[in-house]
Amino acid sequence: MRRMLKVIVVLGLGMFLGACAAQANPTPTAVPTPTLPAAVFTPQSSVDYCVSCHTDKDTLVQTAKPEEKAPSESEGVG
Amino acid sequence: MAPLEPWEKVLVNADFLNTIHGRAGCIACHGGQPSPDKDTAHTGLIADPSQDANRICGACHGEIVDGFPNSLHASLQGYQTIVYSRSIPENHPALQTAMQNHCSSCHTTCGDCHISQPKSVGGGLLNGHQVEKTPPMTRTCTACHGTRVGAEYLGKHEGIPGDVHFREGRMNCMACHSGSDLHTAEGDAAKHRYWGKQQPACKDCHAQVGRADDPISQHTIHGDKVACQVCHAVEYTSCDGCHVAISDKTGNPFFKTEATYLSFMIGRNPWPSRERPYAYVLLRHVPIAPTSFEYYGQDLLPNYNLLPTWTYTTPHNIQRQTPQNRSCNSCHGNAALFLTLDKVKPEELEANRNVIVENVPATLPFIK
Repeated sequence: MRRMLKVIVVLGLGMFLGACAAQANPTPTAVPTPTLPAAVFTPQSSVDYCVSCHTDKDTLVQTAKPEEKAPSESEGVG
Repeated sequence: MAPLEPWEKVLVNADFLNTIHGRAGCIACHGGQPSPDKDTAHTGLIADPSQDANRICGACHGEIVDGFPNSLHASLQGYQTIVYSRSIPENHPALQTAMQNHCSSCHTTCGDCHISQPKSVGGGLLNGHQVEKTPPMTRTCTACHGTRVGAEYLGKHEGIPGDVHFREGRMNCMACHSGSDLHTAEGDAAKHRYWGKQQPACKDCHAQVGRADDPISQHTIHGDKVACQVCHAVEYTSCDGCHVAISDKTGNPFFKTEATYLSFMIGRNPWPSRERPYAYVLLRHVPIAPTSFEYYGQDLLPNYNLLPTWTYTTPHNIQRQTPQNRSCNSCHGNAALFLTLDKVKPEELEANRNVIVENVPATLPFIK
């Protein structure tokens, strides 16, 4: 009976000390960082079609639609 | 102001591309497609991105854009306040349609002042798309406010000098009307421009007026009884009988006014307040008529008489010396300057009973 008690105490002590043992730190794994593209202002294509047309007076003169404005029927000062 | 050619309206100055606004890229604000073909490039184009000011301008200028919906430039609330006051709720939908058709072209976006000429005068870039911190006066402010304010301020009425602030000071509109005043309105001023603080008030600059050290005794004598313009403005524009309709021929909205003329009338203050305590102010005749919106329904202004047709005005042709301030009795006893009963049309007497001057201030004895 006394022997049995000794075995139980030893086993219990062993479990207690095992639970208190330091956890091993996991070794960090190197994760590849994605390379961010350098910030670039828009031009959404290599040629900025908006700019090339809207800064060229001759192109605009050729392509601008004449404005058709119906004559106003208003009379007097607005 | 000569209208711009169609190409001229959209010609971008290459320098703009190097500015902070230009570097954002065209499509970021205007939408459209990157294409060498004009029609394809313009698919989904937003001509005035600042119509969505929160998304575009507000990204950086949020503190301005947040208050802009309260600005009368954005809301045009002044029209609605006055027109609805003469009406009843049942008529509001018809009046709303009328105002949408005839008044909304005056609505202003950020771009209408800072990048382009207003749409109501044909639009077009002001300066190659550069963003103008201070809008150019004659191409933006007086492009819209030209008939009365612009003509008065710049001295375009024959025989009537322009405003002293322009003639002598070369001051533009923004010298008095600050950006913060134009970008928003607070309290009652968001409903009508004469219902809130005076922005600007003459005393903002002329602080000495009425103070103990003011060398001009008339300022102290008249105090807050008389608005500054009563003594310091000259003849200004009034209008009669505006009617609006949609053209059968073109489907476009149009208006007809019966008369436009120069006037000068001192009357009772229709809206006395802590901010505008004056007993006497200048009044101009506004072109409202009981039938102004008849095209949109019968009797849409059943409460026409609740507001005067001769109403508070602050002409922009201020002079140091005027015919009425030449001497005390240039004004006192001079019935021609006052809105008396005989000067009001019989059908408008009821509307104007609060502003008509019954007893003209008497001639002062022993004073020329």
